[in-house]
Amino acid sequence: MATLDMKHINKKFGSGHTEVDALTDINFSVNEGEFVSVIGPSGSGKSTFLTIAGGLQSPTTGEIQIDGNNLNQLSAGQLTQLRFEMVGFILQTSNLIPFLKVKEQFTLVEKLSHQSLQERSTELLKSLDIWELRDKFPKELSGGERQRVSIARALTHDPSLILADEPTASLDSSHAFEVVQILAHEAHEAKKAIVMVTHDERMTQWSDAIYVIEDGKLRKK
Amino acid sequence: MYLAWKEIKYAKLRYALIVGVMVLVAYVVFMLTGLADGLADGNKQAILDWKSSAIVLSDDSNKISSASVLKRSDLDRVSVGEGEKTGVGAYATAVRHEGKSEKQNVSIFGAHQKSFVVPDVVKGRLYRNSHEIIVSQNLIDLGYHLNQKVKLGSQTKAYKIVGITRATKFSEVPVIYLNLNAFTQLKYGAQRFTKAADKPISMVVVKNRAADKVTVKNNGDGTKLDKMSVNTFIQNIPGYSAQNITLDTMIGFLFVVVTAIVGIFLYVMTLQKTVLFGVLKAQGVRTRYLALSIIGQSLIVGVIGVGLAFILGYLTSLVLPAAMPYAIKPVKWLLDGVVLVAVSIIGGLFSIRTVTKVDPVKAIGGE
Ligand SMILES: Nc1ncnc2c1ncn2[C@@H]1O[C@H](COP(=O)(O)OP(=O)(O)O)[C@@H](O)[C@H]1O
Ligand SMILES: [Mg+2]
Repeated sequence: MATLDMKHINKKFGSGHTEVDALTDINFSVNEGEFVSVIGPSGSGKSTFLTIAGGLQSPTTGEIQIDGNNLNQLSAGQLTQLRFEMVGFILQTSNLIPFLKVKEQFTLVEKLSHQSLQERSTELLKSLDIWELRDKFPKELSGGERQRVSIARALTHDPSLILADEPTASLDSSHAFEVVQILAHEAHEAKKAIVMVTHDERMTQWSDAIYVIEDGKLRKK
Repeated sequence: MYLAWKEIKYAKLRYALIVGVMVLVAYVVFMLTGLADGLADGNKQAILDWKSSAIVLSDDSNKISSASVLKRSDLDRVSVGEGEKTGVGAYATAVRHEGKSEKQNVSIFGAHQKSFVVPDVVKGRLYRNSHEIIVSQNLIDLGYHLNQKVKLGSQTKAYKIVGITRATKFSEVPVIYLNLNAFTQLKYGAQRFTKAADKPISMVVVKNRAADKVTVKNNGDGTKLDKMSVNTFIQNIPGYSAQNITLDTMIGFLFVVVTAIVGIFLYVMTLQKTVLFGVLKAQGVRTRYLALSIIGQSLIVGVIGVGLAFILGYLTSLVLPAAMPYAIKPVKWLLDGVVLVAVSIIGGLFSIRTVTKVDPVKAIGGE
């Protein structure tokens, strides 16, 4: 069973003469242990694709399953819960909370999930080489360090699916490569399904599969 | 609460400012309450000292003791036992030392020396004749002393201070008690009354019997009587209600101000965090948790602000001049505090809608 499975997804915005077809008949799936890149120019529908994949907005038509759960059949509350437990988001600019120190970002996840994640976060911080940064606030970190913390944050409660929206856009190329390699490594070692969308061709070299999105249409490269 | 508290610790200066404003407003609320209670006490304390239950005035007095004129014989028209009613004369005038011209306003009550309205003498003794008076301690504090000869109103005769009672006030001024004949002389001067029963008093004070259980005989040609509860009497003390309404309105207005200040502050903070809230929602954090953390912040601001203001208000009471009417009633301050915290939470509620409306999709789009 695929971790993420999307079938015949269409997404329209607006209606009448302002109608936009953001996504057209998208079929897509990722399995655990797979690192997939979706590449496309700005405005091609990458973010729309990713937010629909993560259950943040619903498609106009089509069906999505995450770990076998059909998102169409979940209530808003169940969807939030599913997102919290199974999906990790990594964004272009860091998704860290500015007033929490690095280690406190993980404490928050602990408090929200009512389980002890101490060991796991320590392990993550060490393996992503950010253990030394644990007492710093996000604004004291470089862009690359922030993205590494974001990745660790997204991995804390062991989600099966990681969705990354242009995670390298705000980084210089050496840091960008480093971040993509970490994602590839996590997919392969920790058996995660990771989808990264990007407009930068150079970032796709570690992917197991590459898709191209253009005007809302997705095809395998 | 974790998020709420961490943010306050991180943005110390901003939250210190809002707590500072909260302290100032709460402080003004406490000061006004202290002042309102002090003034209210000063207006009515002597009446409360009587521990009476009802008061009877002449109907044409419009419930004002100094305008009420009754006869001593009117006591018989009030349907309670002898020990539970007493005739009292009320008169407002000024006192001065013999030989000095500086005057002090006082409230005078005339009553039989055995009457239950006459307070205990803490120093000296009770009056025995119509040349002797007892005064409240707060008049002594103004430079009068035991065994001193004083002049009252326009009277040329001298009265001797023979006793001191606990500090008390009526109409915001110290209180003097003297006997009924002295009262008659003071208020009616040379006017002659052939029968003792015709001599004037201002009111009949009743104890142990609620006003609605008291009946007054209103037949015949006598003055029409008007019975009322002590509370009604107090509410009708000239200026009493108006003063309370004024101060209470100011305090009420400050509650609204607190709601607005806390509301606006947290609303601005919330607007600045919409992207963050979007990201958190995308990560599966419930709107409820975010809303509660805003409410938590308004609670923290309210409690710290009120706490500091409480201390400040108390310290202020220690340095205020004695002449200033100011009374700390813990229950009232507690009530103020609870209302202040409550209205600051209401302020926080204004931001909830904004948090609810934050769309996590926008946070992901990443412009
Ligand atoms: N909420 C929306 N309402 C209307 N049009 C939208 C909305 N979100 C996205 N679009 C449109 O859908 C297309 C794809 O947008 P987006 O997914 O953000 O592209 P990308 O992330 O690749 O830059 C664009 O033409 C954009 O204008
Ligand atoms: Mg985008």
